[in-house]
Amino acid sequence: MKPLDDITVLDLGIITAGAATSAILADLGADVIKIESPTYRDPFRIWVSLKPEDQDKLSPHFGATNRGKRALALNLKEPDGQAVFHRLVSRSDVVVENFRRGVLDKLGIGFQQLLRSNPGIVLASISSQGETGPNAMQVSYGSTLECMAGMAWLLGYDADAPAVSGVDLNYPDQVAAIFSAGMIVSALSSVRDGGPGVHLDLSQRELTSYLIGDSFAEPEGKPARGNGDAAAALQDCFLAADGRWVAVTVAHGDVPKLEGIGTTTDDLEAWIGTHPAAGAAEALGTAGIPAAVTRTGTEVLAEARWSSAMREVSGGAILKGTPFNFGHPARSGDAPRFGEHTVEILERLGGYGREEIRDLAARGVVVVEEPAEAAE
Amino acid sequence: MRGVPIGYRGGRFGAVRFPFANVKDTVTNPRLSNARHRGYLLDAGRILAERDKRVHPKIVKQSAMKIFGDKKILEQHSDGDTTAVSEAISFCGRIFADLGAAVHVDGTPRYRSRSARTFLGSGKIEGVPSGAVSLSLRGTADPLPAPEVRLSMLPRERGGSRSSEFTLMAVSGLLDIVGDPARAPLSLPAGQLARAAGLAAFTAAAAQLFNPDGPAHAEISLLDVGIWLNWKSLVLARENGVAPSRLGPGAEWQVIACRDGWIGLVYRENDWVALKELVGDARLDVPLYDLRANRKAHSAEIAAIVGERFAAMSREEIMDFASKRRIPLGPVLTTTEVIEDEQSIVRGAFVTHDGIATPRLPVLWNGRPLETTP
Repeated sequence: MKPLDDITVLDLGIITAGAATSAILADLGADVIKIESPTYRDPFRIWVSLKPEDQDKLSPHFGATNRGKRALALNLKEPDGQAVFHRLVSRSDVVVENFRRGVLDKLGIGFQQLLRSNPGIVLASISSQGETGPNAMQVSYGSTLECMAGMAWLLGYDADAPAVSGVDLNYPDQVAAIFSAGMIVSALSSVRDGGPGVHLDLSQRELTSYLIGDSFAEPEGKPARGNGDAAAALQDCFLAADGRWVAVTVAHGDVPKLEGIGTTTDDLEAWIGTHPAAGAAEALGTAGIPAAVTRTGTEVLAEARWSSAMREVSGGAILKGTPFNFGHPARSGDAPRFGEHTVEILERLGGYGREEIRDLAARGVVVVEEPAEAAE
Repeated sequence: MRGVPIGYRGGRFGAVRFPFANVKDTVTNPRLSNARHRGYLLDAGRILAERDKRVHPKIVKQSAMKIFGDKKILEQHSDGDTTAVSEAISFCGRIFADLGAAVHVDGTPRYRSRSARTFLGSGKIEGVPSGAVSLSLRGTADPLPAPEVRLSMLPRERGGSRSSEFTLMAVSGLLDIVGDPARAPLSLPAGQLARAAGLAAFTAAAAQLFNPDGPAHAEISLLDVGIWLNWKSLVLARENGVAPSRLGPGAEWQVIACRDGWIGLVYRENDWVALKELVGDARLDVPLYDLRANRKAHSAEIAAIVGERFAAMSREEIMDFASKRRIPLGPVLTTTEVIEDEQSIVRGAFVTHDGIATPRLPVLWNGRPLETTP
């Protein structure tokens, strides 16, 4: 049994933060229904591959973040689409969204309206800067928030400019999904224990500041950029003879272990510089000093030694797993096609009859993959 | 090092002091990430630790809204735990304390700094609680007959030599993402791998508390968390045969100096036209740059052109334009500026006690903060 068996999530999340939050809920056992509009699909579906043969291939980013979900195509701009959504809300537990602030209210599916359909609903609004404040409407990506949360101020080379994690990591988006999922489960506990419905206003910028919370204790100080760590005598990367970098942490108590090398940074740098990276890391490790060759993502993938973090599925695709391991694999299944499960969701969760579904499809309120399917 | 940054809005915050400028200025070694290490005995960590002695003593906090008010969470710290595992446990416990749980601490937690102790140790109770424990957070400590989340450096089935949080970032590929290709790879600040592991522990623990009939044991390894954070690299490595690697000045997104500080140059396909208007330089209008793939390949040249324009503009001037045209640029704020920024103030993002500002739990619950108060 998984922790969130019997929980239904309506997932309006797009790109990473929202969709990845729902993916974690799916891994915890929830039935996650990805809802996209015929007029606005998840932009993560669009993938510009450099290979022409991949033209019709599903975006690997979308696939990695949306596996294990079902998909409903519903036009929320139509009043009848909003009515369908409210009926689904009345039979669900959670709504996840990361639209631009104000969009839900404009669509008539803001928190107060959702409460009328389901007094125990949990609405998770995952935004860049929060629901309120002068920056609430500012468009941001993860690295924008690193800048505005104080993290960029702390990241970079010592005595040099600040830096961001960049488009290939976009750190705030990743951690937002973990924290948001945890807060949603916490809100479910509150509702189960008799509390009212909950609107979670989750600001990625605030989370990013919280993750460096100790840095605000002495805000006027010079930022300790670089790879150093107050708990270590030395921590940095050193260039080896073969051009690879070796990451080394020398704890205060470990300095005597460097006796054969020398006890200055220059000594260690020179010694590593005359050895191949793997050999240097192994020798330091044998001496009891943590050391590792910095690896590329390609090398991490090739080794494929992880517990639950990633999954390799048939066909060779790599999907995100989970940052925790409950002893069972992450939710299986490919990411859904647009509107792939519209009919079964409307029937089983919404309680709509085939005739009603045909009518909704004919009027463009919902999209079904095969019109004949709704007509059967 | 650039000149002293001036306050975000018209110098409101004044100059930033650099207490170790004398150390910084005496040594240079651009290849290493920490130039001041050069020529010193291996005690650079002590230099950093010295700064932490000036922070204030521990704050005891409790949550005004007790979401988990009936829960007893036990942090089990052990001498066998690394600092990273201990901090991950403490960070998870800190979140539960902010949510109103009674968080008890058994054993001696390890912290990388005194300021980390202040932040992570708040609102907790020393010693084992009386009665049943709702959930235990542990590393190498002996298990209890209670639901638990176990944290470790490596997955249980994976052996190996001694690791640090930093070397696990190297093994997970995270170190290869940030920095200049000609210089040392860079880690994220403030023990982020341990913090992310603490978040994962929180989510796993919350799920266990929600459903006592579900699995009673969850495992989290820092290596797995690092690989999970770095998922885009692995997905792209599978698709393209090559993973992204740190590009420094050649990165599509990077930090650019402006007249009074720095700006995060962050933009997507749809923002290109507006960005060109902001910069107003004909060199960006060449057809070559109409395609994103070409722009990515020429990011260094584009950043240099943008940098020329930004050098004459303040953060406020740049952000005024960016806000109007919805370009996702971001001003780099110092930690002081973050605390005093209007967005933080309006949302009550920081609570201050005894002169120390601490970020509150980053969520509003039905419009209310889960306020941390003494």
